Amino acid sequence: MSPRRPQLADLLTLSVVAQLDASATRRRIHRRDRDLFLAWQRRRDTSGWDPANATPHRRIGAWLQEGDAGVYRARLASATAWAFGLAVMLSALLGIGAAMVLFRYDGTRPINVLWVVLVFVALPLATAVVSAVGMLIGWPKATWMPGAGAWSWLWQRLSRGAWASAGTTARALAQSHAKVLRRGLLAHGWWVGQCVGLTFVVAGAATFGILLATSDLAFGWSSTLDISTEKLADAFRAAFWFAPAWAPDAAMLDATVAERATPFADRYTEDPAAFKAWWRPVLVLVLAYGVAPRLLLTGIAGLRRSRAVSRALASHPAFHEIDARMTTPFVESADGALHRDTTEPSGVPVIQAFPTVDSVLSSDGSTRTRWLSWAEAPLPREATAPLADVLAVGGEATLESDRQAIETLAGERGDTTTRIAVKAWEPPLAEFTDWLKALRERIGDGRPVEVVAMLRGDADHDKSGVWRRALDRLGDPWLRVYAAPIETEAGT
Amino acid sequence: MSVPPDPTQARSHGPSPPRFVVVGHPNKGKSSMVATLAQDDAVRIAPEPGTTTRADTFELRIDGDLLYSLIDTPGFQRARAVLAWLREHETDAAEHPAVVRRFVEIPEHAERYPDEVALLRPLVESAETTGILYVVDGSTPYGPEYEPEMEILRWTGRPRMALVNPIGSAKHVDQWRTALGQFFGTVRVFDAVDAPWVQRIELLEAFGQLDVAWQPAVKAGAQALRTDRRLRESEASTLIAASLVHALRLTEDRKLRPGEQAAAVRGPLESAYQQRLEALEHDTRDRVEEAYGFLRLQRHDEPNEAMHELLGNLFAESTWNRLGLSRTQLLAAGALSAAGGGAVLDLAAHGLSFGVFTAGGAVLGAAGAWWGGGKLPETKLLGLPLGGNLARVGPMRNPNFAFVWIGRARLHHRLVAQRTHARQDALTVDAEIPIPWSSESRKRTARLVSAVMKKPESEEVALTTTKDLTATIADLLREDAQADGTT
Repeated sequence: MSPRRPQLADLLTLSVVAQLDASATRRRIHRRDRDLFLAWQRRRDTSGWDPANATPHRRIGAWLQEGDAGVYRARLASATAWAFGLAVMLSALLGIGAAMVLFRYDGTRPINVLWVVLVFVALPLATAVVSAVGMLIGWPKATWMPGAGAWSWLWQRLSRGAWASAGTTARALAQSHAKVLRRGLLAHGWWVGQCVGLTFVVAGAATFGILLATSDLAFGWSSTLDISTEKLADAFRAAFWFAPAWAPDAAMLDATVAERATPFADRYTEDPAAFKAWWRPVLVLVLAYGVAPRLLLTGIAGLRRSRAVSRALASHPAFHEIDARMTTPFVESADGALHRDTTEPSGVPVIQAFPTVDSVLSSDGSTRTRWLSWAEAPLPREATAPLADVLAVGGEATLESDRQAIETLAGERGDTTTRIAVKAWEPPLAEFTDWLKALRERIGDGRPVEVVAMLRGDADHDKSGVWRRALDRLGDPWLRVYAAPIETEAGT
Repeated sequence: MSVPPDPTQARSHGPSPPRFVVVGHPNKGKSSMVATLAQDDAVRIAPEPGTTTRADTFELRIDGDLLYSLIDTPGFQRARAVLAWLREHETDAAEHPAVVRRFVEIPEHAERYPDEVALLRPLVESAETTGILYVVDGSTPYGPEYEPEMEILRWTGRPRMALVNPIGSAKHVDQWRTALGQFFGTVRVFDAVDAPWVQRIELLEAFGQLDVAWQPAVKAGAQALRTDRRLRESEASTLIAASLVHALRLTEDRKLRPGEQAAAVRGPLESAYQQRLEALEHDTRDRVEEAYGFLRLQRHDEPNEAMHELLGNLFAESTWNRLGLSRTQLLAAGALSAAGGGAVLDLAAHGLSFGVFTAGGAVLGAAGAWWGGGKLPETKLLGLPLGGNLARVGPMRNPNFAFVWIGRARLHHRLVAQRTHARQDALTVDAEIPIPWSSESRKRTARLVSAVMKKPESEEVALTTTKDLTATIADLLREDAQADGTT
């Protein structure tokens, strides 16, 4: 990727894309720009260009040719080229037209060199001086230009239909960094102005040259005012300070003055050479005062434009933002592809409150209760079974102990209630529900089994709901879940 | 200028990227741990145990290059049975990892012990690059039922770290430290839900202690996250500055129909103006949250009463015109157009008119524009009115508005920057929390804001102010972050 001089289209593109990026998330545009940088790095062996060691200008220059920016840049470069071409073409036509009118010669009157001097020397010189001063003082000021709001109605209309993309681009430009853009636009405008002015005089001079070569012209001068030929000769001598020998003298001026009273044909036949001799000083004047200053100013404006666009580009906020995004590694710590379903499981009954163990343990003595402790869960004080009768399952107990507990329970009377104390703060594990299923299989349907979630405090009460929902999913109609506070424990 | 060295360079020449498998009992904060460290609020965290039913990988990548992975796994469900199987097939201690691998590879185990197979599989695949992070809940007491799973982890032979996650309370942390010390070389306490950002990075760096070969990748990851954090902070300051400038320039207009009284639309206009301000603040908050990776955050926005009190009387009536030009611009346009027409006449007269038409045209054009500009609202072109009367609320005229706006944005930013991605509760922005302002920041902000208030219509002033305000707000956010320990 070879470096190139920054152009106005680069600056405009940067503004447009920066404006469009304003609504995007930082991560998205960071990734976009960083990916671009990494793609260049991967190709550095074949492209011979390493973005990591390049200047920011070069990186941004390359960025402006890729992706959406590249599309916008091509569009804006085309638009600016067309606008420039149109202005230059109109100026050339104007120059040719003016020359055709001024150098029209039908033999009845000589071509009035004062008009030629006025149009192709004085006017270009005056505008060149004005434009040079304008360039120097940075005229016009931005405040003279209508604000973005003034054009909003136009962008709104352009944003529809076939002009949609052009409208979007224009709106983004209008809303973008006006101050930064102004610097580049102004310098570009002056350069275009100088090119237009140069084209006018060059087209005029070229037409003059062609007419000289292809027609027999006669020049003279005339004025309604009583102009002294001496004074006029002095003026010409001053204008030809660089080549005094070429300046028309008073004799030539006297010989070529066209007077209404004297038929031109008579004067012409007196001294035809004098009327033809004007072409050389006229051409020299046009070249010296029409073309040369404009050529110089065009060169200066071109340099100033290049520098201004380059500076505006470098001072554009988006310039450094994009470069920073390209050169800063992109960190991904979350994987969007792994985003899982966050909907809560359906069909889980919500339990507002559990009956306390007091209400279910106040047995009348006729009902036998077998207590078990799962994973060393503490027992409630109301537990009436002697300690020796409490079966330990889960936790430190072996799998064999779990199996033996099932056998013990299976051997008990059919009206025995099995109550299993569990820690409410621990979640129900699959090994517990596996064991409950094995127990139900062994003792058969109908025998009540109650799970008592032991609470350390109010905080555990919510957790006991987890037990309720997990055990409900077993679909065992003889299985109940209760909660009991540890403060009432009477076990160990 | 060359680009600073890429932190991934250290890794690209080193060993394969490490993988940290987060394991533990169900419902003890494994997913919270992963959500916080991966900065991903989409990690499913629910009060129901068994929410995580498969191992999910969360990678830290820089420019697409993997630095390390965090793997969220299901909890142990049948640890005693699995340990019994392992012991049954034990030959000698050196073969323990191989026995674990055999357990995972037996097809019927995937059906019988789905959770254990899912959590042990990452430990036996690419075992040499895998470390274990065992998570327990420090708010609940230690119980011997945890020992089988810790024993299984010991059998894997992989480097291990225990993380005590005090979910709501640190009551049993010491008890856990003692118990875990028997099974794990490193035991750390880390609150996955409320840990300050600095602690999160410190924990990540501590993972490098598991294996010295992993330290470059882990350090590079931590450094990248620090850089990323600064970028997020910078984006937040840009968003806040842009929203403030937007709010200061905001107007709510309504073109009045012929005969309609401005007072009649005042109420609805003021209401619409307030709604737009609120929507702007709401949108800015959404984008700040998005900048910090909160994509699913619920937020309770408090009523913006302090701001409403500052609105005052912003109602005014003026005229509008379809061309959108100011009086001076209309004048200049009229003068130039008419002068151009006059110049054509001068040219047609071969200059004999001495520019009289040009000069006269300019004067007439300017006069016409001056007079016509005033009449523009009443003029119609092809049936369309070129202007009319306008009722308007705004732009903002109370300089205190900016301080309220920034204060609220700073408060919201502090809450977002402090928040971990594991938190499931809604974010409540409590306006009662005081926000400190240094006198220098206050002066600088006042100066910048007054520039916008003087010229609310100027795009140039708005852009310059946004840029300068961004720097000022970035300083304020950095001060907040330093005070909160989030940077």
